[in-house]
Amino acid sequence: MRRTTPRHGMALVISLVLAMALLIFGVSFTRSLSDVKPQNPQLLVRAQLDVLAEGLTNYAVLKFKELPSDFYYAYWKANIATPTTSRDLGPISVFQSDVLMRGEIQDPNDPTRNASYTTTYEVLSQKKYTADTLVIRTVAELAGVVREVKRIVHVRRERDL
Amino acid sequence: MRHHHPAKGITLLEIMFAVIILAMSMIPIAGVMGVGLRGTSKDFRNLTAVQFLEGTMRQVLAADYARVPTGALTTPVNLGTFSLPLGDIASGGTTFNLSLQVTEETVSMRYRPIRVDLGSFVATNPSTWVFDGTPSTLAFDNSNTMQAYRVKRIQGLVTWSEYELGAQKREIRMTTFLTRVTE
Repeated sequence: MRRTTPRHGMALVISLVLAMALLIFGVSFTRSLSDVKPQNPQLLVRAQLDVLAEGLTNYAVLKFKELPSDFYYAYWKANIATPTTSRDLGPISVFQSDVLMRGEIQDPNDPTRNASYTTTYEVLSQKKYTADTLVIRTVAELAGVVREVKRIVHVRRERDL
Repeated sequence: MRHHHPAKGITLLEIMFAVIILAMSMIPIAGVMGVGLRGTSKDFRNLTAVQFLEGTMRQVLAADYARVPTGALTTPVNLGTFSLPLGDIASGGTTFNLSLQVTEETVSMRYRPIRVDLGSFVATNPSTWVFDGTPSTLAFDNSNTMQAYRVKRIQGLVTWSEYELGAQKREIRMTTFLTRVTE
């Protein structure tokens, strides 16, 4: 008469369980890899956009340095002349379509795509042609990544005697 | 009469099955881990390159306009208070090469001139300002001293070799602008 015991074939069951655990570990490992990998190009794009936006902010400071009158006029019109009703800020509107204010620049790592950017100014205080404070905000976008650089600029003009 | 003894312990066949199944499951996992490790070290080099280049670009952005020379910069550049780390930089067993291409470029700005010729004009009072109807363009194209270049385009490049990919050359580029805002 043949008798069977419950321990028969236990090793097979244990090894199958172990194998299953290892497979689960492997699958979760590959999944975590695929999650991490797409972040790398995004980090590059972020760094690229940060550096680009800083440069475009420099452009904006240059613009304010060279042609401040339109800003002063807009400040006067918005804050003193017609503080709440008028959206027409005068000659500053000429700048709105300027390539320095908004435009596109080729991605140096991928010539088939462009980064787009917009720059806005906010004049906080001004003592015309002597000392001004303004906020320059540059937003740059590339491949779905958006970065913003906001710089508070204190400008001091001195006459070169 | 022949007695059948109850099965005790683990048979050789079971052990062999167990080892074979474990080995079969371990082989692909080991392979995936190897790929993952190679990918991680490749990503690390990529990140290091991005950090080196971003750091260099930020240093250029902090530099005085006049001190940044134009042309291809491939060796360290003295910028007065600090030096730009260009050329070969070794990190983590990889050599990264940093270089810059600096070019001065024309920039144009549109504006509407103020009629300063009018008797009512008071420089400090915008309510007296009258603007020309036709926009003008101010170009800094180096045509004369007053219109000297004001913008330098900085193109940064970092290159390195991926030795695990048969010394495949990798590169990353960034662009920014430096402007002359102090005279």
